[in-house]
Amino acid sequence: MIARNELLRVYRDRTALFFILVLPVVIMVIIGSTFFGEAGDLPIGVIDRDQSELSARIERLVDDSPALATRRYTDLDALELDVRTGRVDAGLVIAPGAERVELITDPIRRSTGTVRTVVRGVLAGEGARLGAARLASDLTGTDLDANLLTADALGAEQTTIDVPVMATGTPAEDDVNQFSYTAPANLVLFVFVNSLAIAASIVQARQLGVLNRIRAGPLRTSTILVGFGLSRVLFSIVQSLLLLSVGALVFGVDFGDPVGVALLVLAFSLLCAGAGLLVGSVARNGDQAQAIGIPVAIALGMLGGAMWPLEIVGPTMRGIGHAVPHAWAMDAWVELVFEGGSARTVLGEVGILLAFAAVLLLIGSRLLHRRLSAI
Amino acid sequence: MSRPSYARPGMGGDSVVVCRDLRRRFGDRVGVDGVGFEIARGETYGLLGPNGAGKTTTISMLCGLLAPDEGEVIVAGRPITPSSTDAKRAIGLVPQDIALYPDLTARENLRFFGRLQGLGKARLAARMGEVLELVGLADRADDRVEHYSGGMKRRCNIAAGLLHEPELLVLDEPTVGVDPQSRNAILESIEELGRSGLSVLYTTHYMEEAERLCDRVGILDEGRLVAEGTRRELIAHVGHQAGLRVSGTGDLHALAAEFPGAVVRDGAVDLLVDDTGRRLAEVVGAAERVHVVITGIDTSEPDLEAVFLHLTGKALRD
Repeated sequence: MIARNELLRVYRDRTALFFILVLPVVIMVIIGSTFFGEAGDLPIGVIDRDQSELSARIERLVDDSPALATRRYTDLDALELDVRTGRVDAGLVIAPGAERVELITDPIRRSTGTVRTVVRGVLAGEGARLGAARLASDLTGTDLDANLLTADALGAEQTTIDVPVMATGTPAEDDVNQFSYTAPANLVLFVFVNSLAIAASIVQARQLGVLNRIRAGPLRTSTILVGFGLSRVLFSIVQSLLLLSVGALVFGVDFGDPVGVALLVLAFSLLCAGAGLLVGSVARNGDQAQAIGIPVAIALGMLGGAMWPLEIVGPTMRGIGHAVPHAWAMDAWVELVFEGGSARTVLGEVGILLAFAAVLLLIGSRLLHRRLSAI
Repeated sequence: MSRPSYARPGMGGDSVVVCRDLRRRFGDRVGVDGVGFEIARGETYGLLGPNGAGKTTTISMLCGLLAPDEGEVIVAGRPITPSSTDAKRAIGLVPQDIALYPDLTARENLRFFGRLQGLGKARLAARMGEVLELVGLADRADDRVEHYSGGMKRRCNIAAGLLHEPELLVLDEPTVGVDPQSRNAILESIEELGRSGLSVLYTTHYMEEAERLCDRVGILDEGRLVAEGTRRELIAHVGHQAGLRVSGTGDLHALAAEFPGAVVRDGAVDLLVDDTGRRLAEVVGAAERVHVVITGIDTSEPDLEAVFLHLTGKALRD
């Protein structure tokens, strides 16, 4: 009854519903599209200072790359300005003689590494062709242009070496997309954030005297605590299921083994309930519960890989990240979504989450019990 | 609509509440110090005392919210402790706070608390109708509590305590912060409950409420029960004294200091006197000495306020 009543109260709160359902989906879309979008249409400015057949060929290669969108420049200052202001992600300058190509980038821009990799890949073949033709000319004294044509012909005839990629373990899922990371990451982030945010309702029940009125009835204090804890677990499960449904149905995310997903959601929901009880028992008022709870939840999400993959941070931060439960939850989600893992392969992470949950539930319920006993 | 009846078989002789030697400390501070009283079935018993006298601590122990350091509470023949479950069903608590969810309607609040008391669906529906009618909220039952006036919230608070037909209704200062009209409506509801045979424990620091509602009153001060009895018995403590209220301008505290037991309240000096004529002359003389200009003098028959003043040397609302 306590759990049902708590869920009814959350359902009535339109602001809470916005943060529980709408905001996570919006963030999922924004982050998925921004950080994990498919490569393509990276704007790049090109200046051709050689104006030769070779430089034209390099320009064509860049134009043909599906990852790049080229824009022609004649003025270097204008190109540098556009790189700095973000109108283009990088500038490619083909030096006279076409022997050197300079790439102008803004080192703090997120796309810099991607552009550099794409441009290197595009020009790598051309470098090999030019090197081969130049070597032939040096050795035989023949014309470089003729040797370039020969290199083209030889390149076309050359049998390519197929390099099959062998993966260990279960093959990765084929239908991974740009939301495959952000969907579970936002689930982890927002289910935890909201569990701490709605801890304010426990504080409110305390302050209003509702908890004391309940205690004056025929229920044991332990039963009351279980009621409030259960409401938090149910709430987190419901929110998780909604976000999983949106992820699967709207964004086409395959979350993997349903049993593994169920275990993970249950373990994480218990953890959230424990954290909610803890904040609900230590906060002096509802505002304080939210003021403490939400920033803490976001910080834990950052540390634990719920905002960006821990693979992109250094080993030290990765180690620190695993001091918080979010990292273990994200490890399990990555295992399920990207590695084709099963309930069995995420048992370790689920066990750690359950251990975190047990500690938080124990401390939270004890503190709340003590608060209530002190009147 | 007919009013619910709270009359119990065997009402009259036996006690519904027995508190014996209740003691509770909060660190170095004594909250309640040896309080003991009994409430007969069908009786309305008042605990009268200023803020901080120990009223809420006493009823918290009586309702099993707080464990006493010493002493015992028996309600309807069963001991009450924080771990009691079924025994607590005999008690309907109306806390001083509006202990309701503001974002739920009155009906939803009552349904929630009724289910926690173990009421079945049919009985709960019937009881919700009865208590909403009793407190005059039947036509606003589906409004959220946050949209109620202060008085309506107080009445809904009382309804939640009555829902499961308790043998004892415990009201902790139920009229705090309400307007006079709502206060009167609340007091009328409680009078009606008392007439129907329900046992009531009523705490207040309003002397008039205790005099109006209570068959017997216990006077609490600094955690101790300093006197107990009917209004007539309590006033007998004062003897033949009358209340003297001296209004004036100037240093009233200096004037009060001239008379042991006198207090300054609401721009006047209150004191109890045996011989009104002689004391009046003394008061006028003292006022001249301390340069107080007397603007009015009233005498009154002793009431519970005077009893409290007599017993503790303090005003109820110091």
